[in-house]
Amino acid sequence: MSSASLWRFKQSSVIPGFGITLGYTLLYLGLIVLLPLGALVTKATSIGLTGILSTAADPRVAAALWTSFGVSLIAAGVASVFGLLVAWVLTRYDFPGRKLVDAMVDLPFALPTAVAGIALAALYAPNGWIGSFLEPLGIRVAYTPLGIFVALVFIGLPFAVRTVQPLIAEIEGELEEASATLGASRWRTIWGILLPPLLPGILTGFALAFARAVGEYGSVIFIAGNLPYVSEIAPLLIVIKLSEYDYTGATVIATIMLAISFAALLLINLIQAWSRRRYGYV
Amino acid sequence: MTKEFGGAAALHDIDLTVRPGELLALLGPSGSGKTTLLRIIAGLVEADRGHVFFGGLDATSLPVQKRQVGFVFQHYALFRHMRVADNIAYGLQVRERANRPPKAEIRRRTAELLDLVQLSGYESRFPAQLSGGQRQRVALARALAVEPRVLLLDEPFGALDAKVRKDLRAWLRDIHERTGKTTVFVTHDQDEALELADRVAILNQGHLEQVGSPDDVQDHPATPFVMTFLGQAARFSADIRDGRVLVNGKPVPVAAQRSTIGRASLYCRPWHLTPTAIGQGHYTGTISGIRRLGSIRRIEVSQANGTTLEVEVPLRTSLRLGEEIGLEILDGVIFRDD
Repeated sequence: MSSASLWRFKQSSVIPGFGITLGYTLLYLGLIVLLPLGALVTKATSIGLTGILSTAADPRVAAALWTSFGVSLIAAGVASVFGLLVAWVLTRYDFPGRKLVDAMVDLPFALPTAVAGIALAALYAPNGWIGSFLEPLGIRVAYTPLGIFVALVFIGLPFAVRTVQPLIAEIEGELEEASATLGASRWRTIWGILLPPLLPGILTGFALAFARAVGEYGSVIFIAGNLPYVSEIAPLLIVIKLSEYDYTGATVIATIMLAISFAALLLINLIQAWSRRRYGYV
Repeated sequence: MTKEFGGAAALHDIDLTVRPGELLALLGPSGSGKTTLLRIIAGLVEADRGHVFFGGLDATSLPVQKRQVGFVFQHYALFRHMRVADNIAYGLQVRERANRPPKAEIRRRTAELLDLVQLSGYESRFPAQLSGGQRQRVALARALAVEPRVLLLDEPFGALDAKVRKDLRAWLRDIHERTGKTTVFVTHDQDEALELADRVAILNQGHLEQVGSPDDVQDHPATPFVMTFLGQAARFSADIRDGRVLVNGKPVPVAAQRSTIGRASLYCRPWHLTPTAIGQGHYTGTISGIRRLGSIRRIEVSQANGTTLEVEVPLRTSLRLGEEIGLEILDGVIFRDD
């Protein structure tokens, strides 16, 4: 075999089957991921670019997209901050019931989202356990965008925790000690020494929580109140369009969401690539 | 400089003075408390009782950030996400604005330290791109950058292979002579301690057994532990009578205090013993092994009761494996049995 071939598909490895696994990967991705997405885009573009633009310009659609992406962004950010805190406590400290708390972090993964939505709505409703305390303060959570935010933070938390946990476990305690002996304050140690190696994990967690939040439906619709122009999310609008037999309208909104999500994830990946370069081999 | 400690779980009433500018080794087996002692000096661990002084300054209540110590960890503890130069400059860059040197000064100091640790040209590498020895040199430069009152090294060569260890030892000695920095290093390797240090402090189970120069601790070990820990030593039961030391009823040319009488233990290094004809000397045994150690040979002599002694003999020897010989004790260190 000449080793000078341009495409080196032959990889020497102790595990055989490079060809068949690559073939399977491509076939799988094609059938499961690309085919439905392709069909979606094809259907949406059947009305032409002007049709897509006019749908996007529809005030109700635009408001729903703003709500979906805006609240998802904030919720993912908040989930990342608190997820980092939770991950830190669960990794760094040992306390009775640590394993139990650790297991509880995964509950938002496992719970049917509708159940979570109903539970949250019941808690935050004006006569609910938490809502009845907030009501006199003039804070309304249920049936407002704030309710959407609460639901999205809830479902985003496990992503934020699980992506940084292994990175925190990797940080040696000696690094903090080294920083302290060199005269660095605690804040300086946290910002300069502890956080930079965690940044890729935090970003990954943020991206996952954001992607999940954008696509979230079940838990949101129960607590959001779904007022058009106020607390209506884009996925709900798609369902409404479908129930009105407006398949093209539904796919157009879906395609716009797809495009924005793709752009957002691409951006996060670029930031991640940059941070990896900036911080060496972390 | 005085450091006094009350028992911090693993340490019992340690009173140790490190002289300015000296290179002191804390030597002991694992679990002897030597690392704990070092960490107390650094302020990373608090002593339950007792005080730490730097010069005349009582540093006991100073937090680690304010103690101005340079600490070098066994596993380097370099900041992986920072380049070599940023690692070294870190201690200067984290200072409050009022005390922080200007940027150009920091750059100059970093370059100077890189030169000192012979790593010029490596400033923009990441720690992952360096070998173990190079990483430890960066860690040392980083510790020196803050101009510490005292430099503390925790098993600095523990994670390195034999050749690199040897090079770094000579190099550390050289750096110490050039900077004159008071240095305390922890090691469990007696050769390292004896070769490198001005004075050696030997710890065992949280007690300070002896502090002294390498010659001191080797020639006049204060306790049987020091004697056995610093090298191969055989123990003989001995009697002291009229200022004479007797092993198996025969006198040994070792001085004992005239007034002491009673049971004692005589510890002998392999070169304190020499083979003689059977029936003469203090012991008889069978040669069960002959090994070459550089320019000498060491023979193992098994006694009837199963114990084995090591004896040093010249390279050219007529002794054969399995031969029965006598052993004469030429010298040794005597300790009273209490």
